[in-house]
Amino acid sequence: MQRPTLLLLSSLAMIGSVTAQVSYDLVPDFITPPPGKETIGDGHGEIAVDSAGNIYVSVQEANAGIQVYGKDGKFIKALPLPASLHGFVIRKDEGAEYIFAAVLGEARVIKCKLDGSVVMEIPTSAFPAEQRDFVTFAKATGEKDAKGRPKTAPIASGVKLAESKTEITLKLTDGSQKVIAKEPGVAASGGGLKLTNCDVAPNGDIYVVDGYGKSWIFVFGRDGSFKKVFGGPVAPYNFANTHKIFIDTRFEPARVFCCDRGNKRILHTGLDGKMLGVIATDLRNPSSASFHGDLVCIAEIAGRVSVWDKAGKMVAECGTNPTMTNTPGIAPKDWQKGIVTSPHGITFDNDGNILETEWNKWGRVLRWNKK
Amino acid sequence: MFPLLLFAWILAPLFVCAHGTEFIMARMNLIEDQSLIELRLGIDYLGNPMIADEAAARAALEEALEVRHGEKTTRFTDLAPLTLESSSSWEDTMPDSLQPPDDGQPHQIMIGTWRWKADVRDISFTVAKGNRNDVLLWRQPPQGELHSTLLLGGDVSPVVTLSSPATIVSPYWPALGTSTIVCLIALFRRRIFSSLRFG
Repeated sequence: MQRPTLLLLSSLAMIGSVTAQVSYDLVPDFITPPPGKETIGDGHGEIAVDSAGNIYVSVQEANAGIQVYGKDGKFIKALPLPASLHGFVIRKDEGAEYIFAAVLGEARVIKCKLDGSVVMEIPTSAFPAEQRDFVTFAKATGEKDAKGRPKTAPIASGVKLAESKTEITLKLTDGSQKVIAKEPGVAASGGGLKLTNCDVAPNGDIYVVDGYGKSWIFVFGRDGSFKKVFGGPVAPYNFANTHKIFIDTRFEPARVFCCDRGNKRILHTGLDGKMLGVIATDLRNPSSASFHGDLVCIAEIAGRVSVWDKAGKMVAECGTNPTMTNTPGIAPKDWQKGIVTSPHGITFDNDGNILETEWNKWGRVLRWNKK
Repeated sequence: MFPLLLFAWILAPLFVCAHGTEFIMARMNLIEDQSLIELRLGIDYLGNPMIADEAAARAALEEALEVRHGEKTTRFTDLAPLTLESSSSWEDTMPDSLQPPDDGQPHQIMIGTWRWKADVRDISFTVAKGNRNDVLLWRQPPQGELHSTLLLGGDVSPVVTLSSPATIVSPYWPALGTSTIVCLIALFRRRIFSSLRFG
């Protein structure tokens, strides 16, 4: 008697598990590139959908940083925006829709209308000096590498406190100060801000992450005034290459959804920066995310698109690449139908279908429709 | 003039090309008639969100890979030494297709060279579970296409087949040989002695 009962129970459990799954169908060759182009162009950015269903994809093209496509995937226009819109979202703010974007190459954030006209900017100078002015100095060793370029060696890293015609004063991580002479062969690099994404909280605050820097999360008011900073490589966060963050409005109050790529995990903090907990570990380098209903889809740059429920359970995966990639150098001739190369940006459309853009020199967008 | 240039350098908008440089590059060569594995590893430690400084770069390279050989899995630096040097360029550790554009900023790459004569014919590389530094293992045969695989913690590379494994000389072989000879003499001592007597 026990065995049939167990079978029945396990069958019911399986049915429950199956009904909790969602599944998606690939829509091949969905995007029609701009006229005269075989592909959309150098991709290292994001994809988002406005309330009308139009699709926005960022490409690394000067003064044409975002391309707009219709719901049918046909090219409409390019927006006159910077080339390094590494991360952006489309959000409603005070009744209108705007693009909020992190300009990676210029260490600033912009807010613009859907036609690309910029209405607000958070400039580099608005970020706190402690993170903004962190630099590393290197000095030429006098040797040359195999290609004949001068070899250098680092001499100090710290926050730039002061500068004169002849020297720069740094505050080192141990609190001490060091003076670097401006002499031939000395050069600075690694400016503190490498902004990779931003999102907007329900109260209008703008959250910005320094994902290619030290993974600090900066909070600004709607007007662009600095409020606070949290996260970074320090406890309790211990972030590493926190590539993108999003405001997770599936929860009340909303949370900050952190794609902590270097640690291969997803975690939540509160809007106040309080650590709430790790949602998932051992992902294949989570790089971006998007929400629809209770679901979140995640672009994992090492070769997978996954969909998770609100409880943190993976319910579907799409396009999994069995060989793992994470490189931008896979040419169109080597693309395999429905198999991702390096998922870098992702969004649900308004109907819960998935659009993904890749880190790829030629530019690639894949689409899966919800079954 | 130089201070002005330096000043401009510091304040200039930084072109960031962090992608592709946040993981360890590992070029694999099979040399000496494919009997010896050479790895050339490189990792950026200036402007890499995963690596804080030179010490972290050294540690990351030392722990980068494990080797599966026969039934064993061994950290690669326990099998053969890793020779480390600092360089301003990726040298030959990164495939040409991934070389970042010259951004005018200094880069510091820790380069490691590792050579090992394997003790078995087939080996594979793996990144230890929990190791957060991914490794792009790649190989460019002289007249062939580039083969690459990205290894995350727990991933195992395709099998690498070598032409001939190293000959293993066990310290027990001499003792085993002597014991065998003694046993044979003991077994056939009558025949040996009689042949000696009447031969």
